[in-house]
Amino acid sequence: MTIDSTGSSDQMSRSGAGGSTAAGLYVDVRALRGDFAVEATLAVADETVAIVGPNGAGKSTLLRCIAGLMPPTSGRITLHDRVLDDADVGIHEPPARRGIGVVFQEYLLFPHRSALDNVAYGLRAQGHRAGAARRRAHGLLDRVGLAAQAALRPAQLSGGQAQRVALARALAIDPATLLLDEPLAALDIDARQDIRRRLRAHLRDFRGPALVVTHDPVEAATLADRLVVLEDGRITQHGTIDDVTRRPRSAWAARLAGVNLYEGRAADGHVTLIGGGRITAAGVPDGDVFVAIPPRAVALFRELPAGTPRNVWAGRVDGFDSFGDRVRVHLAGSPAITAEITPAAAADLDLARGGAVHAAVKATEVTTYPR
Amino acid sequence: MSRSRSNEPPAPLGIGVLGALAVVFLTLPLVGLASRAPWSDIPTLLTDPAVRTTLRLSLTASLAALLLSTVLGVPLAWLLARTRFPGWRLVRALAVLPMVLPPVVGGVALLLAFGRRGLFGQILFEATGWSLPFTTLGVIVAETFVAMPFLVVTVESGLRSLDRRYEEAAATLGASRWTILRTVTLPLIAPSLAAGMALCWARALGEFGATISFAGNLPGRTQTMPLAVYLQLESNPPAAYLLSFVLLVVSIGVLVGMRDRYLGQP
Repeated sequence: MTIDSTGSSDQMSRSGAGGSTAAGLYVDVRALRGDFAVEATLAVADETVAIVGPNGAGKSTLLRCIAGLMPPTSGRITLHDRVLDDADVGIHEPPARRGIGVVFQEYLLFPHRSALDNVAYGLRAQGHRAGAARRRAHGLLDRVGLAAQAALRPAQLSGGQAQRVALARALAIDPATLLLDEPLAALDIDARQDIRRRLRAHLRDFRGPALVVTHDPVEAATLADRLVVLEDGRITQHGTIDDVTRRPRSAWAARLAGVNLYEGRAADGHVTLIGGGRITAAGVPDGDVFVAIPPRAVALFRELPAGTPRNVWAGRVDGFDSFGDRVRVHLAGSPAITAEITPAAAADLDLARGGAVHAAVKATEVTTYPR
Repeated sequence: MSRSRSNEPPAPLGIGVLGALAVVFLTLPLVGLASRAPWSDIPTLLTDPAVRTTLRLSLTASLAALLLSTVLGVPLAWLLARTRFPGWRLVRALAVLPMVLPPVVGGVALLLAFGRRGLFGQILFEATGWSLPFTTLGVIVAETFVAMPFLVVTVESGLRSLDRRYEEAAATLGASRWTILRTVTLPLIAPSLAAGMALCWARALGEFGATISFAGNLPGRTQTMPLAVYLQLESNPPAAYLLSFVLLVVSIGVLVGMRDRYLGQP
């Protein structure tokens, strides 16, 4: 890269002041979608990061912001030391000049153009000659395994093929970073696994920061190196898949990890839970903590058990569902908890909605970590 | 055939009878026109210089009105669909007013604006010695005034129903706003644009009231087919029938061309 001596020092000092990392994508923004505010700070190096979280958490809004389709109300976005957005000084690079490849949720292939012309579109728009653009587009279609489908219109492509054309179209502009919004959500289950495997390979080959928005934990786990959990417009947790599932810090992450999660305050080995109830845990330090209890560690009894479990409390059956050879029983109580037991145990207990049972959890099965 | 409807209960008797009556009412005039069309005289009539002049003038003027309506109407439709500005409602009302205004009133209004003694026409006339009424250009202006709203309304609704995310996708690929308009927006609204243009042209071709009051009825200069039909009805009825029939065929052609929109599956 050549360095423009007139403008670069200014840009350098601006990005330096924001404390951004030199390489990669750095985002520290607040954006409004109607009355709903999304606030996020994240740095993405040459890696794939998944933005996960429930529907309506603001994931797509954040992605639109990075793509330049929606200016942030405050904050800044830099990409390899190029300032894309800086609301304070009124910088907003329009999407056309960002060099960011986007794979949209429903792919949005131009319906009136062939697969080849879709892929060549970005190159043509940037002034490349038709012949050169088409040759390069052909190469990219070949790379995603669709050379034979070059002449087809989007309506003639399967969902999986359309997704691959969309990826080739985004890659054609040689983007500095790649954004994918729910790249597999529009596919049926049969196609999903194959396309996920292909997409992972392409993301590995891609040199640059890549962001994948998804609400599907499996997708996040297979495609990304790290997760950023976005809930209600805020980042509630980030880290590797392992970090997030081992020590969930939000309701969504707890569901992903499949554990009962509580917040509370620990003192003398006992945790007083915010939502009511008290849990005794082994070796818990005093202070604000998360308490995680795997459903399999919860035993249920009709009568008050006489054994050693340190945590025993009464509850009422609030509902249950079966997962193959396991039954999940949801108890209302203080605290509410989900237990996972065998169908035989469920039969012995003669469970019915509203029935009274006792839940028991050994102190050694309880995981605690600071909030 | 509407097999899928066969399991619906039959219509109540009253509705069926009145509906059938409407069909008869709409059909009889067409049957009348077709039955009296001077089939055997068609070759002679079509080579009649007067008839040919009228035909040519009508085609030229209506196509010019279509061109003018497209050049002005598409940008207006874009502004109405995509922007909000002070007075937006007023502009929208103005854009559709000619659809509900009696055309003859439109013609009178044009005359008061652009006539030799009109508000603006007088300035023009004093400066150049030229005025718009009673010229072929006047015909084009009158037809555009009456027909353009059909194009504006159709294109505006096409723009509104367009999924704008396609334009966003084009933007992320590096396309400028003009490139997006040319390569994404216009191709995607092509069906609406075509329908709007067809409606606009048909309306311009059939224009009568505004034309006769603004541009008069000068053979070879301002006498279009509808005016000729009206005049010939007394002096030369067969020619009137023939010209009417030609206009009917054109109308049917427009309708068939837009069958997806107006002759859709039941």
